[in-house]
Amino acid sequence: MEGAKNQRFPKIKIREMKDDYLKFELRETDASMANALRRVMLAEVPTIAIDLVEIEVNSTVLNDEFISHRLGLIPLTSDRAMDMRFSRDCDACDGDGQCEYCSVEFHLSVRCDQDQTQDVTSADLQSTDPTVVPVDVAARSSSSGYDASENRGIIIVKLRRGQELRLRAIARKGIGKDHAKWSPAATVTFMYEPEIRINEELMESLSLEEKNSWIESSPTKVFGIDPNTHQVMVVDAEAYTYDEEVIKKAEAMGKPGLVEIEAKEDSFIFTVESTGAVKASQLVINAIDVLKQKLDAVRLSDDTVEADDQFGELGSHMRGG
Amino acid sequence: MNEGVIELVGIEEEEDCQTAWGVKYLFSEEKVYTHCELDPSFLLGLSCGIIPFTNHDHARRALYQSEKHSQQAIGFSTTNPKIRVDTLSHQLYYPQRPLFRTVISDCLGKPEYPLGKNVHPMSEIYNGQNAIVAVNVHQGYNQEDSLVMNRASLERGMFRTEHIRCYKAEVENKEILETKRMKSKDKIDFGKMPSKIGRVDSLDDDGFPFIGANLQSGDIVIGKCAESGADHSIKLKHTERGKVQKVILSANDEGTNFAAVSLRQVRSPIVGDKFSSMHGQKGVIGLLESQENFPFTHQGIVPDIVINPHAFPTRQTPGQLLEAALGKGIACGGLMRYATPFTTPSIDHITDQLHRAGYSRWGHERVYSGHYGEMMRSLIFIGPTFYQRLIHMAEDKVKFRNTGPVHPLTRQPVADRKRFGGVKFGEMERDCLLAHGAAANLHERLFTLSDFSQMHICGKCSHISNVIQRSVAGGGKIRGPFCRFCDSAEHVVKVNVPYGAKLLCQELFSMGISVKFGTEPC
Repeated sequence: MEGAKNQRFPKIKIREMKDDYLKFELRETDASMANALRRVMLAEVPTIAIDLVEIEVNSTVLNDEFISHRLGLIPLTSDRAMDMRFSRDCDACDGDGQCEYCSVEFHLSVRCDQDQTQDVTSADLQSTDPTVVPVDVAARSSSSGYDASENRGIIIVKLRRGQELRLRAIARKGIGKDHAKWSPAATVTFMYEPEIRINEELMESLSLEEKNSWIESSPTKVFGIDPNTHQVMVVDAEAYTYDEEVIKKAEAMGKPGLVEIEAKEDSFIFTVESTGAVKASQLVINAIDVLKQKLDAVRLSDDTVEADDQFGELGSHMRGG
Repeated sequence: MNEGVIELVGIEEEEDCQTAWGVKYLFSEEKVYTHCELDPSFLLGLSCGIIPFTNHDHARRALYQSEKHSQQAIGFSTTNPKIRVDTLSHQLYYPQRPLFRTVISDCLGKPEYPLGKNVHPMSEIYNGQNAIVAVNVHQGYNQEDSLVMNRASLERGMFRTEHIRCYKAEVENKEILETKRMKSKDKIDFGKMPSKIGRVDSLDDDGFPFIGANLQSGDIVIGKCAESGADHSIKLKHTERGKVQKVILSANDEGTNFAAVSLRQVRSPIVGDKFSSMHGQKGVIGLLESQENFPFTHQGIVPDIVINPHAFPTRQTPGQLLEAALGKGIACGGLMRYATPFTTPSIDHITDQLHRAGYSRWGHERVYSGHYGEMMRSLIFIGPTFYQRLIHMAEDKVKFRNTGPVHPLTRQPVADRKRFGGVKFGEMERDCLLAHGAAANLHERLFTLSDFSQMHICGKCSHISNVIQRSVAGGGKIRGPFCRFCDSAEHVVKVNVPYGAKLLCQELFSMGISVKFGTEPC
């Protein structure tokens, strides 16, 4: 590699991991990498979602478009999505999205014959592929610490007596950039790890009361006071949200420079929450894969070489000199 | 008041009342009051009384909101939309209740059951949604009161609306025809027939489209024809389209049968659609931005709407900022829920509530740039604000034309949007091109592409010469331009003239004024 001179080896340390939640540290890299990872997770990791709905009977209170839209937003388990084809690239079916490589068919047929209002939920969706089902249905069957009695499924529409809904839906692979329904991430965010330095000398010039009011000025619990020595110390540096409240407070107290807070430019704390379409941990792995594919596309492209030559000196830093 | 009753006072009666603002004025002053207001905000009407912190806003902004925007906002106006046949109606997909409450909004109905379960909550449905609003610039796409919206939020159903337009057609039924003894030839009835004026593909034999049919502009909505074969169908205008929601056949009081066909259209906000907060702060969408490009907070919160900070200083609507700050506190579980005009919580209450919830006191937060991932230098004010979608939408207003109908008199393009007219290139636009020295462009715009025409001029006497039929010496007649003044066709030349100018000359000529044209070859 030409750029090996500046090459870095980012490290990931996982702090907390649940099915739909992941918190990890990303170190020894810079904001461009962290942000690229975030953007890919939000918009470019593929999932499966209902994309085409053929309505046979709809006598409900909601119109066809309304129901189609609601169906589209139901998250489906998409562990298969990485291996599936986009229906537009699918050779087997000329892109009409009817084949097993690029689509999954769902059926829904509900009719209300009782006097009470009946809910049509995601549980009524019959999938032709057992690996692709609505997320809440999958969670119920696996019963991994999930209270099934509370889970009534995602409500699609409510029916009164005599109303009926019958439809066929085709789910396809897609990415969040095309439509938000394909985004696997509920939340992806990161923060820079803060580095807090308290000016002890200046701090000791404060009375206990002043110290307390200074600590209180931060909306999050960043600082605490040692009950024995009455020394102010950092309780939880990562609770700091860079809101600068404490710095302003210090200035207002006439003690500028009481505390110095800097953001470490090369370490990030990521929080990832998934919609359930893929596991949060898998989401990160998929995102790295997608990012790699994109980088490969750039590296292998003829245009890249051409552009490098074109820019001459300007591009030299990328070639390691 | 001494009788201890609640009296509803009319406008005329108000003049003779001495009304106290509230209980505390009742006892503190020497004045004798006949009445006492239940709450000071009751002096405002409904549309004004549900604005949070109205008393902090400039009066004009409160008026804008309560008189204009509250009328234009799309909500969920009826509980029987399925059976109604309004000519035009709009409905919001997912109406929401604002986070804050006011005393007047409580009078409309509370969300939960009051005292026991005997009384049903009045589910008054509001005409807007709670959007997370950031006050920030966004690449210049929110200049001049435009706003940037989050495409992901819209795709998830925010501000999605349904528009129903209804077409009605009457027909005379048999009984009436018998009494009137009309010629049976002119009897008009619904029915399908091949039509010259539009497509009838979606119509069934009875002349009505099937439910769910997708009608485009120029299609026929209701097929109607006379027995003689004359077509009386109703056609969609070129700006209209939609899917058939319902077809209703009925009769009115006079006994004439009529049919109504409703067309439905679902619209997600697009660039150019108009929105407003509750504080007279209206704006149109300038950009639909993807979620990943928005600034995000350390919690991963991304705004739905980004508005420009310039909207505030001159408009003087701090009420909106207070609403956002209070809304943020409420969303985090704060208990201070009321934003009633004149009895609003103090700033300290709001800021303390935010502080307790773990946010910076003044409602701003550190955000990270969505494009670069770096922290933004300044803190950004962000909070939930109640926004309304107004009925002015870009789709109803688009106006464009390449070629199309011209005015019959002046032969210039028409201006009317309904008739596929053009956008006026007026005097000021002309001045602008003149200033640029773009003469060829100007010539093209005002002449070649407008009312190009040609006329004949006699080069010798400079008069207009007309095309006439005249006999020539060799016998026989020829048709061609001929100058009646010089009695010859020798010097007649053809010149390019705007039709408007030609028309003027002809009109003057008819009044006995002849216009002379100097010509030279080019």
